[in-house]
Amino acid sequence: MFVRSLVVTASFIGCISAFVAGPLAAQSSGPYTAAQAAAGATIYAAQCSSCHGAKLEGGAGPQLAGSDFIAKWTGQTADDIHYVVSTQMPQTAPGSLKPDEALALVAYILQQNKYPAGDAPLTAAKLTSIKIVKQ
Amino acid sequence: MLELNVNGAPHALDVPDDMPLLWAIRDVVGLTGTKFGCGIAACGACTVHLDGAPVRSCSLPVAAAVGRKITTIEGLAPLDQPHPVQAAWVELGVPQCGYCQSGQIMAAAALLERKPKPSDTDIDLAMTNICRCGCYPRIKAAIKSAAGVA
Repeated sequence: MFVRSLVVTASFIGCISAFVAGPLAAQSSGPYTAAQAAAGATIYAAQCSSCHGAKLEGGAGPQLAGSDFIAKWTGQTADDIHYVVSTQMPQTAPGSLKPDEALALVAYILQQNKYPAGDAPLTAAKLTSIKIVKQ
Repeated sequence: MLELNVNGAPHALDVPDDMPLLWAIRDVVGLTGTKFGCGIAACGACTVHLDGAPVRSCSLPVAAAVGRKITTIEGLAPLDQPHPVQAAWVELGVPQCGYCQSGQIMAAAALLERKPKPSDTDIDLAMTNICRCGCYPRIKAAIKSAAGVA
């Protein structure tokens, strides 16, 4: 009887844990990895910060993180950002970023706009499913 | 000697690698439809397509365009068969002074290539070109007309 109660209790706790862990796990499963965003930060510092600011606050180029950026890009997708990054940036050598570099930069922009990191890297296939909204 | 492909034609240019593409297009190739505006990639008067994407040619070293497909306003469409954006420009009488229009048209054409039915936000984000005459409402209307979303 005691053993049976223990099993039932354990099963119940297991179910509760699964119920709780499910949504929490989904919430932390962001569209890029922290390592990818870090790689993007390095590229950004070298190739983008002189125009867009060290903290993506804008300068000669537009802001890339913050309320103005979100207001401007709300409703667009990460694919729209990626298009600009991969075909028009940097302005002195547009189209020169390698595919993984462009994706890393988009990951960094997402990170700086408070999108959470996850376990899987940002890929081209994911871009259109990532809506730009305030986080 | 640099080899450029401009509007589908090859051009061999004896110019420094760091010459702005705009200078090469205007002063060496002789296509003067693309305009010099600010010289710092801010206004967009110098917009051309590089492999189909709109870029600011005043800040782009000519060497960076080697091996790429460059399209200027002269190569956007045949004279007797204007691009839908050009046709809408005429229909709505978009330009006032007209200086920025080749850059505006190139930016708009690239937008419609990527987004044939653009939203207002799509247009606002893509059309970062400056018009000193303030023809923005007609520019937006012409883009919508060309896209059939007016």
